[in-house]
Amino acid sequence: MLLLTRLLRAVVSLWVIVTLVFVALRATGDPILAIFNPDDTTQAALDAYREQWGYTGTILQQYFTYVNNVFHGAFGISNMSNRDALSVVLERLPATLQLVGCSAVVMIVVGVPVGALAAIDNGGRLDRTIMSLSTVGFALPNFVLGLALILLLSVNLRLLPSNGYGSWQNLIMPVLTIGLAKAAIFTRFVRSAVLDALRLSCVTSARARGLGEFQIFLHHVIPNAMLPLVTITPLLVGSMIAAGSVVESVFGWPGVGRLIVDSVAQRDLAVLQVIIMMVAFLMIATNLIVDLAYAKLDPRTALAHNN
Amino acid sequence: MSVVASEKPARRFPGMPLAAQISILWLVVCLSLIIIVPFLPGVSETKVNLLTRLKPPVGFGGTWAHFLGTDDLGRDIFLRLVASLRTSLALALGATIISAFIGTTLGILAAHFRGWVDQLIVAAVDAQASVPFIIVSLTLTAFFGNNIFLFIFILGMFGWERFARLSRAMTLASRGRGYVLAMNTLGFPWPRIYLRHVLPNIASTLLVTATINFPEVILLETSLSFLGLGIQPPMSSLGNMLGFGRSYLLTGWWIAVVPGITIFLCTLTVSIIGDWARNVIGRA
Amino acid sequence: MNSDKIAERVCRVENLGIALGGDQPIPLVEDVSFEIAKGGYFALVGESGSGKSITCHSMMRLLPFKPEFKGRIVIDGQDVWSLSRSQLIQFRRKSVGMVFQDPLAALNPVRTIGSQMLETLRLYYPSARADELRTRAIDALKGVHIPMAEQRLDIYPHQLSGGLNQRVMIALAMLGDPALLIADEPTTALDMSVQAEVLDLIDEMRRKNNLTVLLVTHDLGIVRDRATHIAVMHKGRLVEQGPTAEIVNAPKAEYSRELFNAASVEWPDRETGKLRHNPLALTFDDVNKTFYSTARDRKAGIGVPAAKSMSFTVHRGEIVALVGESGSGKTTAAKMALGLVSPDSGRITTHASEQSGSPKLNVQMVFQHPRDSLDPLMKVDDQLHEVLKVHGWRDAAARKAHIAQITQDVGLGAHVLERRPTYLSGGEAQRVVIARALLLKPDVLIADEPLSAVDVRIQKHILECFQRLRERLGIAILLITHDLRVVFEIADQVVVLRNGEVIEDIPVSLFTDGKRHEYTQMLIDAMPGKTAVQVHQIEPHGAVATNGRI
Repeated sequence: MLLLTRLLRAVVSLWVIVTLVFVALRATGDPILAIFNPDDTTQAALDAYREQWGYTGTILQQYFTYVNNVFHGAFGISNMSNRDALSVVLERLPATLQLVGCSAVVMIVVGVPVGALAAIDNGGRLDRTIMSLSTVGFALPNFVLGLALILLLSVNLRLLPSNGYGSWQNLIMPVLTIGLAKAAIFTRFVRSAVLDALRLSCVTSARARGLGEFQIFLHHVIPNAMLPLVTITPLLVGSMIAAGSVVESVFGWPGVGRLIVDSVAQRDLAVLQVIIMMVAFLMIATNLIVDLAYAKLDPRTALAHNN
Repeated sequence: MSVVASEKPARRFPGMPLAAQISILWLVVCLSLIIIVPFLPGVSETKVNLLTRLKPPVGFGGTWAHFLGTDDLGRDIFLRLVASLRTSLALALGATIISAFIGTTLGILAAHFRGWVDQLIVAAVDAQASVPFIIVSLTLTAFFGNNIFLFIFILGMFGWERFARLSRAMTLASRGRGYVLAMNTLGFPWPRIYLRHVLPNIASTLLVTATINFPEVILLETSLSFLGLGIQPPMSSLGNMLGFGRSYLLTGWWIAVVPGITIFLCTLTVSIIGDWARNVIGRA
Repeated sequence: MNSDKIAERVCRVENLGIALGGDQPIPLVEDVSFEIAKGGYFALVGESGSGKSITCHSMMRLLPFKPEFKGRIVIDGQDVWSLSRSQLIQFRRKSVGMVFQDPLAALNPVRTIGSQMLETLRLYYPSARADELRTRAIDALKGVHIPMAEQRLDIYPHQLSGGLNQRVMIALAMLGDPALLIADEPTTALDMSVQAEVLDLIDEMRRKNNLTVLLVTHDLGIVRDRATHIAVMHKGRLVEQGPTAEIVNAPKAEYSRELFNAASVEWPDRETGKLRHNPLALTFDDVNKTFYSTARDRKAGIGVPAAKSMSFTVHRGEIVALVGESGSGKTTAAKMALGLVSPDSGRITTHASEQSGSPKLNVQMVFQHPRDSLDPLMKVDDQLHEVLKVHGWRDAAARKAHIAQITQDVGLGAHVLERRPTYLSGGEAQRVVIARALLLKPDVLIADEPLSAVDVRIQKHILECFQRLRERLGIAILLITHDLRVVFEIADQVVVLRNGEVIEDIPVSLFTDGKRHEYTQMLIDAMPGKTAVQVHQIEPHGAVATNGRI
């Protein structure tokens, strides 16, 4: 029952996004003129497109046509490449998934142990060093770190190609740029989650029963520290897509992020709406998954009772 | 000698770590430059001189005439930097004030009215927090075209949810069993309670939030400008200065490095001050 | 070594000193020494912040910070603070068991009861098979009288009641057959009705296993009936210790005398009821209020009733106590009287007298947490002036005179006016709040648990203040409390609430006549120090010439 309401809420969220995009499209003037240049398109062709993509009739009819089109994956034609917008986006997807996936691995592999170490050494020298590094990492903009890496590793040391796509050498710098920046933030979350878990009364009581520190960490601290991290991790991974828009531009990475920037510059609304809905869909889907994971991890949630 | 020198400021600001003191010093220097440099006689950050193009900074073969070097058009990097810094800091400050105002107002309204108003505002806060903001701002830029007013609006929208969440929580807390409830039973009008009592009491926390928001706005502004979607020439900000300098990494690395380091130092120093302030408030 | 003596005394604490480390260490516990004989039941008593919890946590080296430690703690023949890391773990496994204040928090919320028991059992039987351990776990749960023990293994702590969780904690603490059981406020987080059961269980464990018990508590009622020895702690030091009978009957230290006085019960034998003829101040007439958590619940009619046909009256100069457990509707009644919550049906009327300031603000409130109800940034004087300014007092001199008069009424010195709330003591803050409420000349004052947040010493002053107000100004006071001692001491009329229903509405002198509703009787029985009442009841004019106090 609760699962059903969650699903329903997800569908409603999606519908709200589709509607917002529709409103925005209509609010920006004649969408056909935004897609086609009227100077080199005949009036007849424009009318034909209007007909084809449902820009005729009352606004309500247009809305239903639009929702129907979206439902069938028909988002229109990209004016940058004159191809179907959906396939333009889809062909960029693997590059972005590769980048985001590797960066997420870097973030977790760096963030979890480092954050846990900082928490265990709460207030000590190691903790302060880690926190200072985290502040630096947070303050360092993506594009500055990216350009610094290019200057150092490509221009000066000539170790890695400064941009491009395909080989593992191309992947290193963008992944480091995104992964380390997010690791700086993630470390803080891990630290405070572990700190909170360490302060739990059940950890004290486990200690009083004579459990070893390692066992306590494994069985009492980690399961409790997981709960807040499960919520924050997808948000950070989601924000990697956003960071991708900058980093992909710096390193010439042919992913969705760079496509966003290019289509904003070209005002390619057809491509842009595909990206928006894709991002929205991903966020809503991950939120749903997080809810389920949370229920699995925390028996106190209502959803857990349901299962 | 050195011991004495480091002890002196420590006594002036008890408990303030050295890093925070240096950070404040850096910001003071930045602010002074922004204010003083435009009044210096005979300086112009837009003066083109093709005879002195791509001169490196002092220490890398350059001269004191252009101590941070010149760009591809022979403009002085230092003067351009100061002008860009002014734009970036002013935008970040203005945006933070706007988002603090919007957020705090909505937060207090949500806590005051509860019910559906509260739910609506909380839903908006959650939505805002779960979508990467840079995507939202790119989208808005695409739909409504690139102009300075939209840009300020976008920056001002950034981070309001943080202020809203905090002020809502703190207002609710003082409403439940604290002085807000007490003043209500004493017949105080609501606006007076919120303006004269709640706001001053949550101001320090909001200020700390602002120090967290501020560097992020700088990052957002510079990122968008770097991508060519924010501040447009002839205006310059740190981000678009770096964006243009990127093309000269091989021939004039300093064009990109100088604003890059400046952005980094600005966000870092404000973050350090924010961390320190948060610690102080947490202890109090 | 004098091993016989150590075996006799399970626990010996010598000159214990604990300070929060740093450049200037903050002393938390100073010069605490006591011994517990084998099989003894030792109670460490004190108010919150007295250092009793720190003392008992230091006995297992469980402090949440790195302390500066002085003195010696010897338990079960081991010098606790000189044990190595691995010795300490063995010590915790074998020598001491500990029970915590909040059993739900002391158990890991994301793991089943069984897994936590098996994990602990594994420490003692490293090579046992899983089903063997399971049998042992079930036996352990049966040992603490948990019904359906086998099924309980597979559920999570939040699915059990607080009382059962505390039983699980006791079972866990007893798994290693310890010599000493430390119970840190084991009943504070529990409902009144199960508190006694948990204490009985600890008694049973002590008898069966020849266990030594250290009970840490603020509740003197528990201590009187069960402990063999009592030590009273105040501000990090032991003020007094000795056998229970000695301490209870003739406390020597001034602080423990006050503590015991405050906890003892004065028999309400004064004449009450004549105030019932005074004019009405506040009436509740058939008031109903139900809270619904969702709109669907509202439609279905599934709600939490906070008032069901609630009717009672408060007269001028009278103190009416509204008594009940949490959730009984007493706070909602106060909010409705203040107009903060409107009733679903029925009428709440305040009857303004000629001296009343404003009919709308005729009911004023004194809060449970006085310091929270003052603006922390403003001087007291400014806050009092502001109340009058908001209500149109333009003349500064008139305001000043009025404030001076009222601060005098509540017994507040002029120096307090210049301070900010942070620098007020708990008692001063409470009187400032009372003064602020009186500024608007109300006829009715509602006091919501006005004593729960202040020290025992100050409680008396506040009660005296209430007495003075009703006598001098004829103010009616609606006192909301769960503490029957306060009721007996000051109230004229008692209204007992349960689930929003008025169960009793009687003069306080009839309260313990033995003919009361079973719920009222339960409240009386659950009262700390109730033995004193019963003794007194049997021998109203007995040899114990203590004026009803013990």
